[in-house]
Amino acid sequence: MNLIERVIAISRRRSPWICRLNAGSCNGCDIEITPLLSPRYDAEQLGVELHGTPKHADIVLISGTLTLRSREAILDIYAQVPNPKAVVALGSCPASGNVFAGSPLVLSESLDSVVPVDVWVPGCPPRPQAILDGIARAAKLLEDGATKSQLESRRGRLS
Amino acid sequence: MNAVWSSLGSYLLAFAVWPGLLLAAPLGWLELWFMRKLVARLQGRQGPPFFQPFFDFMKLLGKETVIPRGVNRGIFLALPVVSVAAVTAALAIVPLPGNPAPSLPGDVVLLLYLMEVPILCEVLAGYVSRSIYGQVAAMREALLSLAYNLPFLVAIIAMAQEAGSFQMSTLQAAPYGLVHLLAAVTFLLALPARMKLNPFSIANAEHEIVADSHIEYSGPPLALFKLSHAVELVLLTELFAVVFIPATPWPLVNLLVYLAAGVAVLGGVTLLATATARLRLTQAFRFYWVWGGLASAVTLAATLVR
Amino acid sequence: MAMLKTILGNLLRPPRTRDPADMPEVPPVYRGALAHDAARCTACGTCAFVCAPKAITFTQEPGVSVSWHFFIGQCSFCGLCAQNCPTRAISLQADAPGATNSAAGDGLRLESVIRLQPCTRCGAAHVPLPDATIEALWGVEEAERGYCPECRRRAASEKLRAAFVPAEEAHHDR
Ligand code: SF4
Ligand code: SF4
Ligand code: SF4
Repeated sequence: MNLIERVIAISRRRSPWICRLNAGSCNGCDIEITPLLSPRYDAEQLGVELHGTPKHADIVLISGTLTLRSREAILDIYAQVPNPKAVVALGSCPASGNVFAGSPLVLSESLDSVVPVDVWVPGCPPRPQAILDGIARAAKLLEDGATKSQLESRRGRLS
Repeated sequence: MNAVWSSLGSYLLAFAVWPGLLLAAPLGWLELWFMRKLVARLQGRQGPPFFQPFFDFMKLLGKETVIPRGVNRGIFLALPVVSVAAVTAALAIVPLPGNPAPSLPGDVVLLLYLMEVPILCEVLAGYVSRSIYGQVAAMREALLSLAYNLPFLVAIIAMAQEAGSFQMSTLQAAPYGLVHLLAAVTFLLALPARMKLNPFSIANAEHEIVADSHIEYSGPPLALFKLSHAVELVLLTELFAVVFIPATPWPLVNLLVYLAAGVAVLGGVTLLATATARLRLTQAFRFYWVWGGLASAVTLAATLVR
Repeated sequence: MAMLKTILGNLLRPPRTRDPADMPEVPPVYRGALAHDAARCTACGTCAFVCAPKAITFTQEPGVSVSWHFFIGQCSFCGLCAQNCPTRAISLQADAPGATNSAAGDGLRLESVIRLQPCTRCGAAHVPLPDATIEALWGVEEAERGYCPECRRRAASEKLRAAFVPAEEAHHDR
């Protein structure tokens, strides 16, 4: 690994820009992202910036129950995020559907079956520090080149 | 022939090293960091680490570029390059101490022209990207530039009138007077909107239109746009310092004074940005045409009176 | 102007931001991840019954053990299970569960194994009664502690019978 690549890898950890995606959430998880921008948690101390467009993002925070209609939206947004990228699943909903599992318009399956998830943040909703921890973990994975999409593309290049 | 080559060489030097890209980029990152840190501290937050703008830039360089479907590739990729080149070229004209480029008669006109190019690039970037949000941002940027350019251009032109020449070095050396003061106020009036800072951050209103006109940009082109913004910060603050701060005979002292003045100006506009909320486009327009117009009229009148 | 005073005041004060490693305390009544104490559990199934998102499930290996499973990715941290557990085998921990990397699976899954024991009287495998429950149950004698539910019922009815019917008659009945 030469110097430039090393610097870029470090920058990936130090500058994770996030974009959030509500896949049918009750808004509990999204509300808990707001404190990250407040003085107490201040995600900017880790270099985190909240962006509205997936084109600028490195990490997508996906919250909420996956519904039949949000599936397409998730795939679309995920495809728009430029590589390398990471996905953080917030709360119980993306992992299983939570209390909504089994209702007719809900996918009732893990987010992993739609897009590759790198970090799971448990909670309903998760506490802000857990979300910050999740972002930091995803940023570390980006530095190590160990997110699922990075591993995937490396495998694609080798074969 | 030799003279042409040597002056070309000094222009290249000015463009690439000082006050051009090699030194202006770190300086721009420093100013960017200073602004972000100050905003954070004013809000009671910790704020970003010192190298944050650098990390952002390097990270963007290492990312993939996604080009939206149906977009003209050539224009899409050329805009950020043109933008960076134009601001850097503009900065190379500013007679900062140690600038190797010779001063030309009429370079103020060139400077003012080059300073419009990044705005043009931004407007085009919004329209080219074929995103609704980008187009709204581009429209806002274009309209707003009609407003803030009035006091901005008048401030510089009044100084040219005062110095009796359209040459940067004469402007810098003009004897200090009332016009300096009035023109400085007029210039400062236009500054927040030029920097797209808060009461006038209408074109990059992330809460309303998601992002600025770079909404569809990603990876290295976005990095170049960010770099262009950083260099533009240096350009605007140093232009203010060079034109309105009285120079001393010692270049090194001048340089320090200019840099300090630049940081002070940034601190002032950042304070304003943190203390205010965003105006609507019509309000900003009215502000610039009424108050900016008034300041411009007074400044121009002062140049004529003498 | 008031705004200016506030923000300039912020500038003079140290920032209120906390380090990622030094995050605010979680309130003591916070409902965090579940903890399960196999030694207290009677495998009654109440917790799985009251759990709306079905985060708690049971599996069994007949004659050997019963397992209590919990998947945090399905839990809504309502606390009903802990509230309804008759033996207080479930508790909700008062700390926020942290994030987990995907390499470790899809988050926290707990499994707690309850070993079946042979009945000291008839030998049938059964879920042993937790000690605390035995203390609480009236009239369970030392010798009956290892009984399976069936034998316990039998022992209780024998005791009842002994109290009402004279010994020789009882013998006769049999
Ligand atoms: S995990 Fe809980 S808080 Fe988050 S979206 Fe689902 S139901 Fe709402
Ligand atoms: S944990 Fe409590 S409620 Fe659940 S099966 Fe065990 S004893 Fe019953
Ligand atoms: S806390 Fe609520 S949702 Fe979670 S396991 Fe217990 S009953 Fe189920």
